[in-house]
Amino acid sequence: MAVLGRARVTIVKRDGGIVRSEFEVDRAVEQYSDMIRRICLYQLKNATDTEDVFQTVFLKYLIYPKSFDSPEHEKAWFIRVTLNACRDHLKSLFRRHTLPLEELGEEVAAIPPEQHQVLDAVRALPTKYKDVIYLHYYEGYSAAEIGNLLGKKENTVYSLLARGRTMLREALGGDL
Amino acid sequence: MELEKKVRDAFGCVKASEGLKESTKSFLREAGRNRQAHRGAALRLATVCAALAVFLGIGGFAFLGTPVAYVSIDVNPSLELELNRLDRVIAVRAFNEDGERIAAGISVKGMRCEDALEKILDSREMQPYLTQDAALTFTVATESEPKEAQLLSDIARSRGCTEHGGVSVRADMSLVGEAHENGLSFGKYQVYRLLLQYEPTVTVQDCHEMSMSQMHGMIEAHEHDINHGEGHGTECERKEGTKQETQYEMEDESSLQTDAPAGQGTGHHGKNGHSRGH
Repeated sequence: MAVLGRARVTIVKRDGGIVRSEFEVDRAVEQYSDMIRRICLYQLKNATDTEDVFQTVFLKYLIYPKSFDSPEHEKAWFIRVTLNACRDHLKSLFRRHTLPLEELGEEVAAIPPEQHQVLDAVRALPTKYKDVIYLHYYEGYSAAEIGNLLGKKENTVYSLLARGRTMLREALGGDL
Repeated sequence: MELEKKVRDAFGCVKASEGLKESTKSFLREAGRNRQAHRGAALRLATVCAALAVFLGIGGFAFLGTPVAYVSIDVNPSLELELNRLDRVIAVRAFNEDGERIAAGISVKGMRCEDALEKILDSREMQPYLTQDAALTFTVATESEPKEAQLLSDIARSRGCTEHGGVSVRADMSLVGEAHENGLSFGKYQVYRLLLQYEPTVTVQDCHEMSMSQMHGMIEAHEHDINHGEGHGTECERKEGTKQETQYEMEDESSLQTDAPAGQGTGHHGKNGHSRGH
């Protein structure tokens, strides 16, 4: 067993599994919270689920027994786990209605009002479109990478992107 | 403004609040502590289970793997069954070539004593020895009086006694080790000790060569002589012989029906201190 100093590092067990330190979990919270918050914003329909999803995602990270090959690998893992956690929440019948940003409480109070229109337009898209729109336009993933992340064919991603872009333009006005 | 930039700018304004981060960190610290506590509890539980398994394993082996009773089966073949606390056969020992042939031909380990005896008597190898004058003898040795009484009564009811004319008798446990040192089953050794009262010159080696029937024949001949005043031994020797005879007691169905305790001379004694089943 390799124990490197104080409990600030990952401990690698004999069986290849790992035990994540408090330091590493805190680092992950700092690094990925904003991204997870954005996904929650367009995926979830009310604010109370966001905290649940945060806890779910980071708890999975805490107990995930494998190490990641690279920072990109780790980020992709967080995206997949967050999307799955959000979908689990959406399965509930009580979470069917999408609320406007204004009704999402303190969490969105810091977002300038001029951005609300765009965010509301993305949130109003069907899930399969808003995932690719967010991942492509904000996170900068290519169609092939999105395909890998979501388990879809690259051509399908291209189609979703094109259709999503059209729907978004229609929602935001013809000047885009 | 391009759509891409608009989307990027809009999402760029979305941040997780410090409160959300802190509450998440706090939740994870608590979860981590609980996980460690659970892991510690699981480790302790696993340790206790492992210790218990070892304890039960050793205890189980000591309970089921230790012989507490012996049954000697003697005709000419001499066999001994070692029984555990549940009266299950845990080992079979043969004390002559005929016995080895029978032991090699059947497997009775794990069987109940009565079933094992029946299987032995039913075996093809045993049939040539089950003649009218075979003097089939089952000898029981155990430290436990209740077990001794139970085994003797079970054997007396078995087909070995009821169909093949066998007898069930008891022996002291001290005789078992002594018999084995002399290479005899303790059932045969007990008969040797009885014969020795009448034939001081008879040796263990002689007994190796003799069948139970032959040994009983010699004893009967001497007792016949004594009963008709033709014995060569002294009065003292005759008394000694009688005393030995009382140690060679039987347990048959008639004694069982009277609920007489085994080994206390209440059975129906034949000339040799035992009687045969019918």
